[in-house]
Amino acid sequence: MKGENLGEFEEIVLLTIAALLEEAYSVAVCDHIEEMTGRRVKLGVVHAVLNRMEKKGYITSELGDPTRERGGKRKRFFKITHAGKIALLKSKEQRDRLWKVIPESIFQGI
Amino acid sequence: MKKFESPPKWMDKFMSFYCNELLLEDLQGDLHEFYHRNLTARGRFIARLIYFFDVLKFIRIYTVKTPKLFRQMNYFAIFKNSFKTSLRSIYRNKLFSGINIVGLSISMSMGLLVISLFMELSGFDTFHEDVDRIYRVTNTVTDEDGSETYASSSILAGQIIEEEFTGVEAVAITRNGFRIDASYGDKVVPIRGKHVTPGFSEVFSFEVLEGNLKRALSEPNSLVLTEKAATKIFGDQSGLNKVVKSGEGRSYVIKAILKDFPKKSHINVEALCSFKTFEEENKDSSWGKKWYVKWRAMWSNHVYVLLNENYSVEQFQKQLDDLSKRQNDLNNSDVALGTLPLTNIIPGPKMYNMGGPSFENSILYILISLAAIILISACFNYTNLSIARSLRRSKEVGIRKTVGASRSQVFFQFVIEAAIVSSFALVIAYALFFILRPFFISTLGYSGEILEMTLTPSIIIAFIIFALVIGVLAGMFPSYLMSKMQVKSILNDLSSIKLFSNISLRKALIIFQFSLSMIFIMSAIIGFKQYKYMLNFDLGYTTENVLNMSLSKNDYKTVEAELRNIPQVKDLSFSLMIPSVGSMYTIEIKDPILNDSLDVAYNKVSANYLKLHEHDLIAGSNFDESYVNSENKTQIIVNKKLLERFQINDPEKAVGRKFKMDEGIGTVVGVINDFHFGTTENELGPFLFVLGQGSGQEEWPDFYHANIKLNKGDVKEAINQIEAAWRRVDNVHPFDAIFYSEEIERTYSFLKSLVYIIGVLAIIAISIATLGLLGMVVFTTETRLKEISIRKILGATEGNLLVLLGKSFMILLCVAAVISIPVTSYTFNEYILQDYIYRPKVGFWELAGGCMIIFLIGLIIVFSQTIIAARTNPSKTLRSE
Repeated sequence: MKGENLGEFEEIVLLTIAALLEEAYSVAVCDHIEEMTGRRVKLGVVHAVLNRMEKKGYITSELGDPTRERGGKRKRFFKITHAGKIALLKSKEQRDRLWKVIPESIFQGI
Repeated sequence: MKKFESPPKWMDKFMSFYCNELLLEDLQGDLHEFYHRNLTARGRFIARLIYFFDVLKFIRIYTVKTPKLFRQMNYFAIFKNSFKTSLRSIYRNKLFSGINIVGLSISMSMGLLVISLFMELSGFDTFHEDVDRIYRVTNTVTDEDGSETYASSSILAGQIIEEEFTGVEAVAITRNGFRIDASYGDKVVPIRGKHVTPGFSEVFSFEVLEGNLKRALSEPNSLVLTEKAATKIFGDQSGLNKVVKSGEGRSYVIKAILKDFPKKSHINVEALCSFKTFEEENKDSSWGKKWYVKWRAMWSNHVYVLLNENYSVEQFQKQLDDLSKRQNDLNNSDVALGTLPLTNIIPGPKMYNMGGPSFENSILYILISLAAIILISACFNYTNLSIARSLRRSKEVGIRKTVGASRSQVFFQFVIEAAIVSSFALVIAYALFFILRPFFISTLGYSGEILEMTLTPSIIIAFIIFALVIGVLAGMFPSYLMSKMQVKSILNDLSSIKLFSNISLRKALIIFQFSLSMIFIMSAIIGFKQYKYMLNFDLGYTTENVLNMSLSKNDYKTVEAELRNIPQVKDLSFSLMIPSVGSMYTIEIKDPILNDSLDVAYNKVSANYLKLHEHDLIAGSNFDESYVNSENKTQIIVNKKLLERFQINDPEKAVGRKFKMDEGIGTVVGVINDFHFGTTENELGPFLFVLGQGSGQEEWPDFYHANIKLNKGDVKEAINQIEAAWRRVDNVHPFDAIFYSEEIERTYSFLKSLVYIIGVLAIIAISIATLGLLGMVVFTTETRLKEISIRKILGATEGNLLVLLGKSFMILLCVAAVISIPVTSYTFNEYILQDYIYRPKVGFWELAGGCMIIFLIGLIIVFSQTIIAARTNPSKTLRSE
């Protein structure tokens, strides 16, 4: 069932898109991830992931308006789909279930 | 506002080169954003560098474009759409499509015939292994009458090439005239072939079934048969090493059997006899030792060479030039040796003594150009009608362009439409091809005998390509015009399109077509007149009811004895040759008084030949039947031209004159009037009749033909009886008799073919031009229907309208006549009939007659169409608006 589960980075990107609501385009996604997690992400990686997830049906995209700083090119805004949301929930549920069975004593002292 | 600086253009271009269009825009936008960030943070250089690497880094599987080829699948949809529209438009305009398809298919069938002819001819002699290194040695003889090229060469030349030349791998010498009546058991079969040298097996690669060809050709008295000939003699048995006897009593051993010669070979015989045999047989000839190996004896031999692989023809030619020079000095002659590549024999340049089947280049080129002219004419129809109708299709073009069709797409749409029309035409032309093929081959007469014109896959592919090319050619110009139209002007105001500026072009096309038709029809009439003239030409003697029969070396006395018994035979004579049918025999005579010699055309005849043919005796007497020629006195009768040549003014004084000839002293016993012993291409010349007496027992009999004068009446019955008589004399050779007049007709069959071909072309050209004219007239009357109606309401009579509509077309026809009449009369007088010394004048009626026919046809078409328009009730055409 490899294909059905979200990868780690995929999950982060998907969460970011969900968080950004209407403003989720590739550069904003990069910025947001960097801001929230402190990880430096490359546009190339994000772009590839976005493209892949669009094909899987977790997100959809549409073109916005062109701006001057983009050299007159339009932005591609991404939106999370129903399938995307389910995938996120499923992923969270899996983790929650795993968290629940871990005794709290393990994390003592951290 | 802050001014934005963009990254270098070329980087963007590079990206748009590789990147999928769906991803390109936002990706490029993203990179631009980063560029601006970097620009403010780290400066331009770094920003550009990063941008550049980013562009490179994004070359990934999912970003790269699918190759163009796959994307063009889209065009398939467009193609499908154009295809459908084209079909609909063809279907909807039945008249125009019909005119185009019929015209194209008629002319294309000519094209198909010529294509298959061309492809068949270019396949001749190509089956030999070293075909590109094989050459035939030709002789160009120059004398006071000009120079003529012969395909034949002297044996001497062949032997010198074989023995002394460098760079030659093998030489084959062939000699015509091997003829025996081969007997085996009780079977007698006439066999014809060539004597050939052993080199024949090395130069050519004919397939050997049994035996060793080279060894067979090296030994005397050995014979090589083809499978077919062998079966004729030996039936199912193998003929190898069997012995056949000739009628002269010689024995030949069959040393090899060849597969039948391929049809596409210029050498096509039943048998090959070793050249050694010929040498043996002629060892003790009365003609002197090795009479056949002489520099000038180049009439019945052919020489072929196979050059070494790295040896060029030029080098070989140099050696030939040396040889010609040496021999010409020795023999006081002017003969130049040359070469002809094997594949250029058929089709090839015109040469004498081809010694087998031939096909002249000029005939092929004439046919190709005639077919091309006809095709151009049919293409003009398409172009013309399409331009005329382009106004109606303009809205379609406008909408297509508005929706986003590019100019090239519109162009191709109409080209495709033309290609579809020509494909339809191909189907009909293909059917016509099969109907016309036998006529075509038979029309070519002698040249057509080697043709089969069977279809091969490559020929069919050539047909299809040909049809498409024709379609594209025909559709190109109208398509160009259509694609040029501006959307704005089409949709705004149709009348602003200046389509009718092309009217002069269309007129020119019509004039061309009709000039062509007129030229063809006038040519056919003139050619026919010339042909009739030649058949009815007064030869100076009579050929009426004379049946010429080949004697096939039988003793004429036996034949005479048999034939005299038949009541229908009125008279009988014998001769060496048949004059006036194209061939000529010459003899050298010498006048001892003037010490002047002359090669003169002659015929050996029996005593009553002149009486039978009603030659006009003007002095002296006829041959004396009881006279026997002796060494010192051979009876001859000469014509007036010969007397002129030797400066004898009074025919009476010529009687008793003596001339020195090869076979003794000739004494003139009579003088006859001049007569046409050549064809009408030849002028009257000196001629000599020799009293012949030799019998068929010798190698070279005096008589080869019996001239049988029949009584008027049942000709068929007479011929049957003669054939029966022939069978009693000779059961081996076929009965070969033909009426003199038929033989003359056959002599001019070339001209008959020409008339026939031009006649057919004239019909085709006329039908195409007529169809085109019909289309144009229909179109003009249709578009002017409203104008006509209004004129009618205002009081124009039908006559007025006819003049109005028909005038411009009749002017075009007049112009066509003005162009074609001088062209035809000039071409005929200066070129085509130039060779014919005796010819009728090309008069007014031949020229005017042809034009009249065309005018009449044009008139009928214009009249029939305009009368319909003129008679339409105006209320019908005007009511709807």
